[in-house]
Amino acid sequence: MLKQLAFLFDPTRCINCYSCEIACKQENALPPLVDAQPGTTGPRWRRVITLEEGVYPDARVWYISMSCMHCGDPDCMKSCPSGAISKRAEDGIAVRDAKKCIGCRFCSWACRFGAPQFGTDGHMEKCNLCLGLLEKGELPACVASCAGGAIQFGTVDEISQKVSGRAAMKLAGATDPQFYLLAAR
Amino acid sequence: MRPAETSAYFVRFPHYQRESEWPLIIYTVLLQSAVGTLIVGLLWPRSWQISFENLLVTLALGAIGMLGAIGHLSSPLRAPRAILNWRCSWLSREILLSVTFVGMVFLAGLIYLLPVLVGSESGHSALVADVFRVLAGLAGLALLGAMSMSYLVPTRPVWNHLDTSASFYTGAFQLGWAVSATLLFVHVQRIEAAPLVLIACGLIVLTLLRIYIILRVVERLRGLNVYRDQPYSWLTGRIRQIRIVLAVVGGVVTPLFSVAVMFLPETFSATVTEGIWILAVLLLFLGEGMDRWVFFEASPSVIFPPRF
Repeated sequence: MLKQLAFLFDPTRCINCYSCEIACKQENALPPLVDAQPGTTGPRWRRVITLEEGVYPDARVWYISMSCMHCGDPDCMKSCPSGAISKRAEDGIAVRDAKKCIGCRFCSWACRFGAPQFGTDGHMEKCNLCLGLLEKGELPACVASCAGGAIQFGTVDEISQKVSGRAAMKLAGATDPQFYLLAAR
Repeated sequence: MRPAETSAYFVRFPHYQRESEWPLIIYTVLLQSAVGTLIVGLLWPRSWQISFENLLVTLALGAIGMLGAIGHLSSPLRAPRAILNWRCSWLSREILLSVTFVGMVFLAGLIYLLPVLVGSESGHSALVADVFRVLAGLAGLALLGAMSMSYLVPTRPVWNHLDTSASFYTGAFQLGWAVSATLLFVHVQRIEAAPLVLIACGLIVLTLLRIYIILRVVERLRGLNVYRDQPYSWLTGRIRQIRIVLAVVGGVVTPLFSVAVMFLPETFSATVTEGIWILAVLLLFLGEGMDRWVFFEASPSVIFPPRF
């Protein structure tokens, strides 16, 4: 039975330290390529985005760490001509098969969240929720490294327990992204 | 970092490079012109048709275009996998239809040649070849649709509109008309005034339609705020101006000139007409290539901000 895994993010706990991005790069051996690709930091499976709201003096800035949303109906999977991206039946993680990828980059055009990245081996790559760590019973690198405990993950039931009375909003979208955001207190 | 060290990065990661538009420009422009050439060849009256040469040119354009498509892939050897997800991927359908189109054109040409290869006359081979030409034409029409659907993605607002489809269809028929006309004028030394005027008028109408679509695209994108880092001026600047000039010279001025040349002495006018139409084709291909280059370059991807 499918127990879809999802991310839960608490923006009030994020301190914009980028440790999630760095941990993700370290765990998945994603090189920086700062000099080879000026203006970029190489493939990033996770990125911290900045959202601004309000007007001075009531302006606020939110930092939100986003990666692949492991959507219920992913655009990347539907667009991939070679069937290299699939969803695991047991936990709904969207994974890509490097041996099937033809490197056409079409998934990166299709994804609304910029999740699939062109990798150093000439094929597309994306967040797989650190499957290797999950299979060892450990947490994904981003979750484990988050200094403020802003990033959490689990099944929808587990997430609803973690919310514990606070309002949480699911990311809207036609692809049913599996990403929940806790409202400010 | 010193240049030597920078190049060392590329040696370590030879596949990590910026997405190149050239293979896609070659693929889209040549396949579209191949489809246009075949269909215009089918629709023209029998007396204007140069069937076998038309098939040869269509096949050449299609084959070179397919090489461009393969050049776009990081793993060209896995190219056959690209058709596996045809049930839901427009790119898969596009590749499948491209292969079907080029394959049908190849078969039609082969069947035309069959009597020569076998050494016997058969009235059926031309008929069967025509059936394959019609099937290839239908596959080509579907291919243009699938090709444009591949670009209708929400992350690229510049492409995500029906005018992308209109651009692809009008571009295909404009180029196809010009290529078919050039084949006719190269093949037939002296052509009557009426067909020449009609062919010239046809190209002018298709060119004006193509320019109208280009202007519609520019008008639609005016005011879109996605150009913070990708200059809107690319769509109205010098490159587009040159593109319009190429279209006008190639698709309006040269056909008119070829009509005027009819009044020259017969031996002279045939050579000049031939040269004029070859020039028109070159200018139109160059213009369409520039158009497609802007299409790919000025299309910033928009990663959706979270909406809760």
